[in-house]
Amino acid sequence: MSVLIVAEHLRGQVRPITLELVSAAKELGEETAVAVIAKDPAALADQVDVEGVKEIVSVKVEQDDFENDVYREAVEQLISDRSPDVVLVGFTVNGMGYAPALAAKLGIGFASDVFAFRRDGDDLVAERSFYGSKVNAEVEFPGHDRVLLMIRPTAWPPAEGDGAAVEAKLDVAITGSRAILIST
Amino acid sequence: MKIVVAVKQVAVLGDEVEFTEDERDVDPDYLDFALNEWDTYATEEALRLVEAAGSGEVVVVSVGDEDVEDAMRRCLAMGADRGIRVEADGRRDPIQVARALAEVVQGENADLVFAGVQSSDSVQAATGGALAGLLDMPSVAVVTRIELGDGKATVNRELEGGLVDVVEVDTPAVLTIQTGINEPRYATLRAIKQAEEKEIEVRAVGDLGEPASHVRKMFVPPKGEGAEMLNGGAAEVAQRIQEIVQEKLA
Repeated sequence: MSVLIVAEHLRGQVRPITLELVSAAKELGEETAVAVIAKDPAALADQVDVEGVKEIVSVKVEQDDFENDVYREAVEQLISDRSPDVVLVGFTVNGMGYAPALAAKLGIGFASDVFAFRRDGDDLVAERSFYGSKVNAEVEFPGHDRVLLMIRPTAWPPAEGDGAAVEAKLDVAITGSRAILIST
Repeated sequence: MKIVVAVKQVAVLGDEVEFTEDERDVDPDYLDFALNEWDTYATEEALRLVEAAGSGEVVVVSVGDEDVEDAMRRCLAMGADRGIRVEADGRRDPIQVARALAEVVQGENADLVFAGVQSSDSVQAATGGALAGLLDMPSVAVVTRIELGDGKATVNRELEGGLVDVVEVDTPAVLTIQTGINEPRYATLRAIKQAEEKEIEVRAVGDLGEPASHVRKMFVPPKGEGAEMLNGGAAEVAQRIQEIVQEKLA
């Protein structure tokens, strides 16, 4: 399965969830690309070049920090360009900002707060909790060739080890940001 | 000022659990039902903004069978003006809920649309965002402060680790509301009685599309390894906790 990870960064640092997503992706296959959406993606790319990452896709945008619409549009264009089987996003406040919107718009499979998954033949089966974490459930995605999963932080350990990822870049067209960061 | 608030009647599981025969859900006999905690804050915030504006309307919308009207009536008792329930039964994923709500929300032409950050039973944190995606509306997730401007709102977005982003968002927008943004009011008995008279319009559900996910099986999580029960009196237990902490720190 090909996996696209959307790197998360804050105040100039890649957040641990990104490397946790790399560990999660290792369970799905060898084809893992990490997209870094930033004003200066090159400055962050080194931080995600860990073992298990095959490709780092730099996506240059005007914004230094996270803005919802920018990610919505950039990730949509990444998905269209890369055609991943699985998109992994952190179950974080940034992820909540754009990932459900994108999954709804694209009509792809979706589950959030996922803390485990496995392949069952060609199918992907994810595990998440319900009812205040009192029960767990296996969820499946019948009829979907593409699935976006939001992954619970700390469910996987952060990936480490030197990487040898190929560098790539994708030009994206952002039509505008309707929710602008004005201060931190 | 018109604000639409998407609310959910959540299921609360007690200490005992049995599953349905197909093992895809909890046996409803083991569930209690209540208004989602996040939605009480969203309703309160909507009421305060409309009250501050001097005029307007708070409309609560929900998806489900007649039973979910209990949760909606809670919001009406707090002061919401009317409700719209989209008739649907069975389990739905958050994207299907957003599809069910989209047409209703669009038809209201509201200045703002609120949803709770997440529901306590499913914890997908996705319905509000999915709604914004379907309606191509600007949105901000996990909002802890709202200041209205002209065609814009300035909001705080609560990040992990106590960090806050201040975001200026074009309105109309979908905001998902975090607990603690306000102190929700209690409905008086009189208000609860009056809420019985308020209108809840029922609409037929449109095409919900393919589920974004499907529960294959539910089960009780395996007990975590390494748990150690501490027995004895308070002093004894405290002593043992101290030892464990010291062992871990060593």
